[in-house]
Amino acid sequence: MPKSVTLRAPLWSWRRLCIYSFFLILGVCLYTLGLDFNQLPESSDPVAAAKDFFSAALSPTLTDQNPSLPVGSEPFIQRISTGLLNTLRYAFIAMSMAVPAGLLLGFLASRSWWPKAVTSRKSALALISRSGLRALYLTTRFVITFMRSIHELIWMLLFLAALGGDSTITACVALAIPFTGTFAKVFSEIIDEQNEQNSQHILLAGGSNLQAFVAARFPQALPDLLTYTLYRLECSIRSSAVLGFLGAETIGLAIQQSYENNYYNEVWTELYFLIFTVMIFDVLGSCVRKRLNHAPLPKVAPAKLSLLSLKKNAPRWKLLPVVWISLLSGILIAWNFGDDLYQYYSSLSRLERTQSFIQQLIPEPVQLSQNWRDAIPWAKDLWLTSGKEALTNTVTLATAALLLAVLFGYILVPWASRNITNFRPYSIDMAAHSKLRKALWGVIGFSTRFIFLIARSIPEYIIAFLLIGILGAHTWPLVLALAIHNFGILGRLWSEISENHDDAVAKQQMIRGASRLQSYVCGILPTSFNRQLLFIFYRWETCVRESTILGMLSISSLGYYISIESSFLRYDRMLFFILLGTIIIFASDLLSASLRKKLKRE
Amino acid sequence: MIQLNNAHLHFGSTTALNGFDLSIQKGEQVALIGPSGSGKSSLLKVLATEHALTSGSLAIDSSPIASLSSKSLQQLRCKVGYIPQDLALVPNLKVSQNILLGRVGQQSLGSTLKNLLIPAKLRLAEVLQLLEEVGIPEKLFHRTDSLSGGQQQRVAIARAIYQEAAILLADEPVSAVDPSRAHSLLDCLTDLSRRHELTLICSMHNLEYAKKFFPRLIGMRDGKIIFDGATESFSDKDFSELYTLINA
Repeated sequence: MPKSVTLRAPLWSWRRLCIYSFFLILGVCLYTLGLDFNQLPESSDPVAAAKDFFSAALSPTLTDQNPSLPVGSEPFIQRISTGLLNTLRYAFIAMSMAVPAGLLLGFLASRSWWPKAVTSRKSALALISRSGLRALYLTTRFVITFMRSIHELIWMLLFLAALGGDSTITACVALAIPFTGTFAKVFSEIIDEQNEQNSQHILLAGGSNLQAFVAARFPQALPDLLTYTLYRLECSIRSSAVLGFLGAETIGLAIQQSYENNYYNEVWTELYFLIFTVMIFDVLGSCVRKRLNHAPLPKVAPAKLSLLSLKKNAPRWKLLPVVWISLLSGILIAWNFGDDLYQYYSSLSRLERTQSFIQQLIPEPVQLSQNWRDAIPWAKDLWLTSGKEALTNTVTLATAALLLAVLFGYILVPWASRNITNFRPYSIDMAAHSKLRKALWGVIGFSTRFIFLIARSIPEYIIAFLLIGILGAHTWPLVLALAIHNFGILGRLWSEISENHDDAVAKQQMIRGASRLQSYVCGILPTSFNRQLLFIFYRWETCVRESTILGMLSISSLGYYISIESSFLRYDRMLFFILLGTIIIFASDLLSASLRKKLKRE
Repeated sequence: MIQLNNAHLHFGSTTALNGFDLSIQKGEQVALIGPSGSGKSSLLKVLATEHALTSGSLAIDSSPIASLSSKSLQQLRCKVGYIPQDLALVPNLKVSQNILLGRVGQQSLGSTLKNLLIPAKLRLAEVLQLLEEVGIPEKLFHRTDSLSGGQQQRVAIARAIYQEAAILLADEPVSAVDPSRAHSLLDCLTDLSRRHELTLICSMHNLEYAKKFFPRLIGMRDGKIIFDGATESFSDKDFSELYTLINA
């Protein structure tokens, strides 16, 4: 062996750096948050409170727990049904606004319909039109990031202050704005990531850029666009439930009222209803995804080949038209039935109210002196007294929660992947199994997926609200709530990566005697690691956004100050904290996007 | 009909076409042969007007490409059908929709949308007839990604014929199919080009198929034309020299 050859693996690599950084950042976050049991209020007994709350899970009720309800008041089951229907109504109306708007903005934010090198000439006109398109692209990107950067609850707070929040449409618009931003971002990315060759072919056959977009790129992207829309519908149901905490008559309001009155059996019934509804849309989404990505099985060719007979025998999925018609009917019903969407109770007209609100957004010293220079010491003072601490808390909370979710997610993910947790892993015929062993593998797989499903079905805001009741009002209930929800989401995304991954290497390892876990760690994890990291960065950006609003549950993150200033009608200060949140979300968006770009290049 | 003079094509420091003249007449059936990296695909891409020559000139139907306006270039592209190696079919569209996209250059945006969503019976009947010619009429309303590789190649051929192009370019059209399918596909392609009076230019890896199906062969290596003429005029020695590695 030549002397120059060293047998030591390189100490630093991109992956090692990620793993070392993971533990370092987790340590720093946990140290910053601290684990101080003195934070618990003296009067509270978390163990007893948890026991009371969780023991009620086994005995949900369908009747009122309140013994002193007046005769003739709406029965409990009717109340939660109305709450649930309202939740769906808000979600459907918001989606019906967000999807078309997101599609339009997504189109403007994608580059795929721009003139290609194959068609464009290097003329002055081409140069000007390209510069114009670039300006349009950057403006649209800014608008959609801004829409996304403000959480639906904060949009709702703003609308409550500006327009009066009595009307259903206000809540729906509050929900639709950030959803439009998210749709536009994801739609543009899906469209841009499609195979270039088909569009190129249309251009070479004499078609225009728009024809190439409409006839090749868009149809190719359509399954992914529809799948994502269904996933967001599930998210909008969760968000719509959370709007209940600001007074919208959704299931969230019912959960809040029952919990504050210690009617835990009622809370569990409401949670079960919410989880069940989200699960229906989750299962529906996965059924549709399967059909959109796979062609239906062909039927036997007709004896006589005419257009009519071929059309009659064309292979098609029966479920898809049923789903599309049901969803469109849902939207129509949501818009046309139920309480008046535009109801408004106030002595001021909407215009007067908005004008007064806008006036109050101007910093107080500027209102008095009419000099915008006075805004600088005002902002500096706010930043030093509360902004800096709130911002640090927001980022630390989000990061700690995500890293905890990652840690526990990695432990459970192999056991949720259908190709591994199976009595025939990777379709390998194992030694004869007893029926019990076969059933055991089925139970392990189902239970793990069910844990992930439950974790992601309950919105983090509701989990945090419930945990604060048990553990008291400090940072850890928020960290745990965010971690539980993200654990459920990462679990689903990662197990899908494992299931769709090429399992040839893992299969070979198992045939040669490796265990299921070894085959996952050595056969699947190394090549899917980058994709898993992509999802971590994507979720971090979302966590920062969510941790901002979790502060509204009286903990000192940005949401806390936004909520306080709003309730004292100090809208100038409220706007300061909202803008601070927007800046941190823009920054996390940019950081996350550059890290994801680097990973994709690898 | 196709005239290339002193054709050069460079991608950075890489030379794809290294200065040659070429003339192909209307209705000819030509196979481009040569080792990998010899410039066959680059030549097809230049003829499909996907790449512009770095220097030299290309004229199709006596029109010099470099001096054409955008409108004239678009009209010319309608006359050139191109089947790339990866076929460029939209996988989740139906076979009928993919074939109807052949005439996209002759339609407005509105007609393209109409053809995709509610195609006229007359157009569908035309497509069905073409599918009968390539041997898969029963696949008219099937999703394209449910077809086998050979069937997808037939769809790509049908789309190129439906385009009503005067020139048909095909890049390795039988590279991914078994010998019996390759045989029937080439038979179908050359027969259709003969019946529709198309100029057919195919790049081929398989020498036997090139000799069997094409009356004219062009041998390429290192971006240059090594030989060009009637198939029967070349000996085995010519072919073995073409494929001999320079460093060997």
